[in-house]
Amino acid sequence: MGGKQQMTKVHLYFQYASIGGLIFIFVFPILWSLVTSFKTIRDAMAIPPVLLFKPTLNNYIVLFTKSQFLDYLLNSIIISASTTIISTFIGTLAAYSLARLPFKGINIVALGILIVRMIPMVSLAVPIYIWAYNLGLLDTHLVLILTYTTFNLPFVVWIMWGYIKQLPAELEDAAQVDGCTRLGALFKIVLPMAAPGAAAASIFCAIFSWNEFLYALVLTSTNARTMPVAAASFITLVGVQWDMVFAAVIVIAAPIVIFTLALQRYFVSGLTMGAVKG
Amino acid sequence: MHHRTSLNTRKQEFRFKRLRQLLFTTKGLGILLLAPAVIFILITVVYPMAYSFFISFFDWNLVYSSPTYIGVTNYIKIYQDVVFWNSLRTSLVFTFSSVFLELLIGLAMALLLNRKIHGVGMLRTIFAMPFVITPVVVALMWKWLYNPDYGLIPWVLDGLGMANSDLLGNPKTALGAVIGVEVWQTTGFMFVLLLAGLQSIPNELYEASYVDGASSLQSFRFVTLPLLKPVLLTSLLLRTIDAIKGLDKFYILTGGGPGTSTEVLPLLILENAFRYFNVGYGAALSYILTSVILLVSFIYIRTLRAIK
Repeated sequence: MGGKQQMTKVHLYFQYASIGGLIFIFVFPILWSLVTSFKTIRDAMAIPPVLLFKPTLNNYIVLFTKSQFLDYLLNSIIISASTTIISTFIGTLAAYSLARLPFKGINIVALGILIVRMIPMVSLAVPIYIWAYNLGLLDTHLVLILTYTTFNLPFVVWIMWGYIKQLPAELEDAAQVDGCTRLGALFKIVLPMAAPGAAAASIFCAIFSWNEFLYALVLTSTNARTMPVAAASFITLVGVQWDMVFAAVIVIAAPIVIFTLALQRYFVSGLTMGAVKG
Repeated sequence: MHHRTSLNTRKQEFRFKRLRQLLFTTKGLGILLLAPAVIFILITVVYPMAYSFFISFFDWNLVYSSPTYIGVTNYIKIYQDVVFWNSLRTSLVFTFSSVFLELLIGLAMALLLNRKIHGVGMLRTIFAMPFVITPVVVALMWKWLYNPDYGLIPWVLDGLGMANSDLLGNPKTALGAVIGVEVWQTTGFMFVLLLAGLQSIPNELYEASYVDGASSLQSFRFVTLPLLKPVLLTSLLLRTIDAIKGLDKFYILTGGGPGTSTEVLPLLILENAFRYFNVGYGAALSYILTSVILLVSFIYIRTLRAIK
C-alpha cells in the first residue's frame, strides 16, 4: 500500500514538474524580450545577462523617432481592420448560403476552399505583383486589404459554415411562418446568433493580417508598409539595429497578447472549430 | 378600361416576380449570398494562378527583358538545377521534422493535461500564445537569443562545454535551430487541437476497456489513438501545409544561409522572383511548390478517408 502511494506521489510531482517546465519554456522567450526592451543597449548586451538593471524607454523612443514606426503601426491597424470587416461580412453571408441553402455543387465549393488554403502565398505573389504594378496599386493600403481578404475568406467561410450549420433552424422557420422573409430571418435571427462564431473568425482574420509578412514585403515600400516588414528592415547589411528591434518586437506583439488574453474563450473555440469540426 | 388595368397589373406582377425570385426564393438567395465570395476568389486566386501558369512558360526578367516564349524550358532548368533539389530537400526535412516534433510534444502535453480540470483554460492560453505572435517577431526574439555574441543560448551552451555554440552560423546546426523556433511557436496549436480531441472521447470507453482488463498502454492503442485519428490527421495536414509554405523565420533568422543550408523552396522563389526578378522561372518554381503541397495533402486526405 505504501509503495503504491509513493508511486502516485512521484507521479504527481513529475506531472507538476513537467507542467512547470513547459510553462517556463513557453513563457520565457516572451518575458525575456519584454524585459530586454526596457534595457539600455549596454545592459542588454551584457554577458552574463543582468537581471537587475535600470529600466529605460530609450529603445521605444529611438524606434518612434528614428523610423516612421508610428506610420507603420497605423498602416497595420487600418489594413487589419478593413480586411477583417470585409472578410467576415462576405464570408458569413457565403457560409449562410452553404449551410442553409444547399445545392448540388456544394462539395466542389468545400474542396475549393481547401485548395485555396493549400496554395502557397509565394505562388500568388508574382502574378499579383505584376497585376498591382499594372494597376498602379503598388504600395497602397488597398492592395494589401484585397490580398489579405483573399486568404481570410476561405477561413471565415470554413468556420462560419460549421457554426451556422449547428444553429437550430427552427427559429428561422418560426420567423418565416410569422411572415418574415428568408433574408429578414438571416439578418434578424441568424446573424445575431452567429455572432460568437463571427467574433472568433474576426479574431483570426485580424491576427493573420497583423502578422502577415510576405505580401507586405513585396507589394509595399514606404507608404503602406506594415510593422512586420519595418521590423525586418532593421536587419541591415552592416548589422542589426537591436535597440529598435527590441522595442518593435513588443509594440507588434503586445496588442496580440493582450487581445488573446482578453478573448481567450473565442480564440480557443475558433481554433478547434476550424480543425475538429472541419 | 377594364382590359388595360389588368394588363398593367400583370406587367407589374412580372417585374416584382423577378425581384422576388432573386431575393426571396431559396435558390436565388443562395446564389446572391454566395456570389461576392466566389467572385472575389475567382478574381484574386483563380485568375492569378492561371496567369502564373502562363508566365511559367516564358523567359521573363522584369528588369532586363520582355517575355519570350520558351515552352517548358523553365521546368527543365529546374529539373537540372542542384540548388532547386537542395531547397526541396531542405523544405521537406524542415517540414517533416517540425511537424513530427510538434505532434510528439503536443500529444504528450495533451495527454498530460487531459486530467486536470482546474486551470486548464489558463494553461491552454499560455501554451497557445506563441502561436498567435507574428512569426517575424518570434524569429527576431529568437535571433537575439541565438546571437553568438550577446545571446543567452550560446552563453548557456558554452557553459555546458559545447564547442561551436553559434547555432545559426553553423551550416550543420542552422536548420535545426530554425526547426527549434518553429516547434516552439506551433506546438501550442497542436496541443490545443489534440486536447480538444482527447476530451471528446467519452470516459465510458476507457472504463469499459479497464473492466476488460486492458493496461493503460493498451487502452491508449485501442481506444485513444483510433478515436483521435481524424483530429490528428486534420491537424497534421494543416500544420504540414503551413510548414512547407513558411519563409518568414528563414528570412529573419538566416536569410537562407549559412551557405544554402537553410535555403527552403519558398525562400528560393522569393529570391528568384523578387530579388533577381526572373518572374518566369519564379512562376515555374512556385508551381512546383504548389504541386508538392497538393501531393502531400492528397496523401493525407486519402489516409483520412480510408479511416472514416
